[in-house]
Amino acid sequence: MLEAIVQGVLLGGYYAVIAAGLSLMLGVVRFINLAHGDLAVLGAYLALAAIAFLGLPVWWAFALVLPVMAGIGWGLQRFLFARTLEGGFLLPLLATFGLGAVLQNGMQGIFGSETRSLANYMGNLSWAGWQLPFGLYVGVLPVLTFAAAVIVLGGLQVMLSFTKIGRAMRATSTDPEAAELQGVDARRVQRVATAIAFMLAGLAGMFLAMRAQVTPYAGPAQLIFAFQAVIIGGIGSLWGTLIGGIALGVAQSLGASISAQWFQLAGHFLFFVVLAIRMSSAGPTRERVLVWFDRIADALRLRTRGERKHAD
Amino acid sequence: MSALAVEAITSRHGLLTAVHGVSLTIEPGEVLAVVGANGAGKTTLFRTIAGLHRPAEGAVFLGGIDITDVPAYGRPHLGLSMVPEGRRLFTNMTVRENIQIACEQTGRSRKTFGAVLDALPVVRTLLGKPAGGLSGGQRQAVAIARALVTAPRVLLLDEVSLGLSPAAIDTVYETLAALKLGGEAAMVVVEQDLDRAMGFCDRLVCMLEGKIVLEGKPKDLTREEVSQAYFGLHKGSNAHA
Ligand SMILES: Nc1ncnc2c1ncn2[C@@H]1O[C@H](COP(=O)(O)OP(=O)(O)OP(=O)(O)O)[C@@H](O)[C@H]1O
Ligand SMILES: [Mg+2]
Repeated sequence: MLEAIVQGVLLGGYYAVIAAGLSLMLGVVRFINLAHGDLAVLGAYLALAAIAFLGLPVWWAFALVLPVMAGIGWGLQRFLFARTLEGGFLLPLLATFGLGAVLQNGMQGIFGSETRSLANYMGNLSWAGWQLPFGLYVGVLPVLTFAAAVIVLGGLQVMLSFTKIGRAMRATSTDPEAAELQGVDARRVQRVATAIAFMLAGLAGMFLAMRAQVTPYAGPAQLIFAFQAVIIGGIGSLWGTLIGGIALGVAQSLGASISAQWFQLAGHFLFFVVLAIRMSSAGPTRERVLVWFDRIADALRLRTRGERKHAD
Repeated sequence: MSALAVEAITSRHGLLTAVHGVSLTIEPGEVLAVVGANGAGKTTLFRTIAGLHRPAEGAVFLGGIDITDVPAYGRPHLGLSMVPEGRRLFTNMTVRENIQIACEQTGRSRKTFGAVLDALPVVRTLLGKPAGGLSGGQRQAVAIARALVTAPRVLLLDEVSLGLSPAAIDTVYETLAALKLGGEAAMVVVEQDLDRAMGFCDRLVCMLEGKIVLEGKPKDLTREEVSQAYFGLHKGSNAHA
């Protein structure tokens, strides 16, 4: 039980990273990217390619993937996503759904459909771990992933709260036109946000391929987990995303300790419960829950109080 | 040289021509009021000047420089700022951040920020508050501060008093009057209250169906004339029948 919770928390770090990218695009660009999971898998394959074809040392390959993903994000936002945004909300869905299919088939065409993993290149890191009291065993890799997640999400939160580009992102997210009236190049800001989101997807994909096997068709499942983490944690706050990722990871991990099939089912179950609570029309109960969510958000300083939609 | 010159601007929303060949000039320090009924094209004209709407024809000059092709986000830096209809503050940010954004994006100094707070003491008391929780008057004050911090040479204010209490309207106009005395920025205000508009401005234009139908100094215009132009009753001398 304790073991499952600890493993779940660590797994949540991975979900938080993949969900943060999705959440950033939802929040800043108002864009639902259905190819987000496939982009994560692309990040993993890019790392594999850099190692196998370019012969780069492993960590250099990882470091190379991030700017490449950022560049892809920048270019796609510039030449594809921004245009689809002008055509209503359905067009981005169709375009990114298509992009996902292209990525899946492209990766299969180039790399084949057999499973791959980065674990083979990482020496003993993929199985090393620490023996803790109470018979707990934690892997070095999950701990590193979790630590990276906290650092990345913390860094993003600091950027959004305290930097010029972060303020421009928040302004653009509320009202792109009003942001332009203050001198913000809203389209450029959206490109920056997309570039960061793609980097996060790539990073998540590499984490995934370090601890598990991936295939070119692994993306959609990751997209679902990312959405679940975002919804459980609440849209628009990065700490919420971390909490959502952890909650999802713990649910899955506890589920898996019951039986293997329950790994995913428990996550879906938690997701539906949270969704049901948030959307139920149970009147005062619903309001109370929402106020409660708001209070937590306030306490964590995720939002300013004025944003509260639900009066006490 | 004029602070702002609009030359034969035509702006459309799809097939609808909202602004039809409008020309205007504003001198430095001048206050121009734009009045006109709902749908006359005031907001579309402002949005075109600010760069949010591309004109189908015509050109906009700021201090003699053609800015027609400058994107909206490039204009505040050049000295053109707009308080849009509905204020449109960033409700998820504090008042300080709302103003800071405009300040840092246009590269203005902390000194400018301080000077704006001195001019609008009420805003200083609100700095730490979230912009989403302010009253209408407070919001308008913050929106004006946010525009002023870009050190505009031309300030556009759409629907200055819409939705404000009479007391808040008085306060806003006191602020604007003080700015007018300062004399640096030319102001163009859209104001539905004719008396208010005529009392405050140096010059007034009245728009009707996308065109300017009346223009003049308040002392040369009667309220009667203006309200006839407002409702489109002035055409020709025998249109009163
Ligand atoms: N985004 C838009 N799409 C289509 N038509 C528009 C749009 N905005 C304005 N219009 C139309 O353009 C015309 C001019 O509108 P505009 O908002 O410029 O007038 P206004 O003088 O500011 O009116 P109000 O006093 O109501 O603010 C109106 O007929 C309006 O319906
Ligand atoms: Mg208007």
